[in-house]
Parts: sequence; structure tokens; C-alpha cells
Amino acid sequence: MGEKKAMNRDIHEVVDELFRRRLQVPELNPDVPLVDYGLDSVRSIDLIVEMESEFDVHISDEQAAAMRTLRDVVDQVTASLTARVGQGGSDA
Amino acid sequence: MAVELGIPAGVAPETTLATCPVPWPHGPAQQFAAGRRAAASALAAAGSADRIVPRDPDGRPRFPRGFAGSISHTDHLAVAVVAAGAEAVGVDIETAAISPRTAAFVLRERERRTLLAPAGAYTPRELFAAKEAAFKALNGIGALGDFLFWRIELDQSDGALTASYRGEPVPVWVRSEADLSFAVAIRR
Repeated sequence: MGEKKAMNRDIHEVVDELFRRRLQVPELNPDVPLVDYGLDSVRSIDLIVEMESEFDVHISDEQAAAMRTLRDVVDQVTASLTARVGQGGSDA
Repeated sequence: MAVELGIPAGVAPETTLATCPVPWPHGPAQQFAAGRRAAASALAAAGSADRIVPRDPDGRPRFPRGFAGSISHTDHLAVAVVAAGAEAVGVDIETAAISPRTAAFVLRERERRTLLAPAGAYTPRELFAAKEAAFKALNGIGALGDFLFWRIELDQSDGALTASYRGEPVPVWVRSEADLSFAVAIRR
């Protein structure tokens, strides 16, 4: 459980930095819709591609559609990472 | 930003378009207000007495009955298009550069091969705008359910661009002015 919390915190820090830089805002409330900070379709896809590269995960369309707030993004990236780790474990 | 935005060639002449600059500090609130002002102007030009465009709970603008319309904006410019009597309208303006990675994400291999230069006549930004505009025109069709705009497919026939999702087509027109690409989709 402690490891999962640490992973969530690390993901949050990376995602928060990515989104603040791209949206050019000093701070992001994790529960406010990202569109309220000016997130548009071009930037949202740039960020999905960047997160896939940064975390080495695949983000599905369903996950992308569920990313409305920063908290949603962290949840979905965490789910992708957890799934990837699980797949890696079963392969070993 | 001085941009003379006009209805793309081929769009029905009764379609009306209006633009409104987004004032400083160019944030979401200013973009929203500029979009509503553009919508009011486009509705007035189309002959609508009702020029108020409230926001539905899902965030979509609700145009007066009989005057299908759509709004799009960048940080500096808002545009609205109204097509009286149409079932649905979608409009999109884009100024952002579309990276090759983003183009690869949004455009299928067939679309990149046949529609982008050198085989095709479009830029990645124009096709991105075309999918966004088509999404707005198709998204209101209940039978299609929720979907993401990059799932829309683009095809060209006789020089005309058609977008479709699950067999539901909508024609799309695109044009570019200076550093801006503009797309309109109208479903009748």
C-alpha cells in the first residue's frame, strides 16, 4: 500500500509539472476540469503522447476520454502503469 | 491578430459566420465571452431573433431551434458559424502547430498517405481541424454514443472531404488563412 501511495505521488508530481508547463499556469487544482485552464484538443493529444513516452505506457481511448481533471489523469496513468507492471510480472 | 476569415468555398451561401477577437488576458473566460458574441452576430446575420446561446450541462452551446450553429476559438480569436435549417454544424479553428507525433496519433495511416502532401492537398492542421469540426457536427447524434474525435475517418472524393463515424457521414470544408486553419462541417 505504501509503495502504491509513493507511486501515485511521483506520478502526480510528473503529471502536474507536465500540465502546468503546457497550460502555462502556476498551479492546478486537481479537481477542476482541465478545460477550465484552457486545455484544448491539440494540447490534450500532445500531453497524451508525452505521457505515453514519459511513463512508457499505452493510454487507451477510454482512458483518454476519462481524463477530465488532473486527478483523473493521475488515476489513469497509475492504472496503465499498474497494468504494465502486472503484465511484466506474469511474463517473468 | 488581423485575420479575414470567410466561409470556405462550397459551403451553402446561407451559412453565416462571425468572428470576435478574444481580449486580454486571453483566458478561458474571455474566450467563452468572445465565442458567445460571435454566435450572437452569426445568429443575427442568419435572421434569428433569439441570439442567446446558453451552455448545456455537457458544455455544448445550445443554439436557438432552427439555427444550428457551432463555436470555436483560439487564444486570440473566436468564430461562430450558423446554418439555418441544418441538423447540426461543427466549426473548428486551429493555430497550433501539429507535431508529427500528434498527426500520427490523430490521423490514420491511410489518411496520412492519401490526404497529406505530397499525395494530398491538406496540411496536418487542416485535417485536425476537419476532424474536430466533424466531431462537433456528429457528436449530437444520440445513436452514435460517446466517442473521441480522432476516431472519425476522413475520405476525399471528387475534391470534397467527407468525415464519418460508424457510417454516419458529414461533409467538411477547410481553408487556411495565414497561420490559422478553419474547418466547417454541416449535416443536413
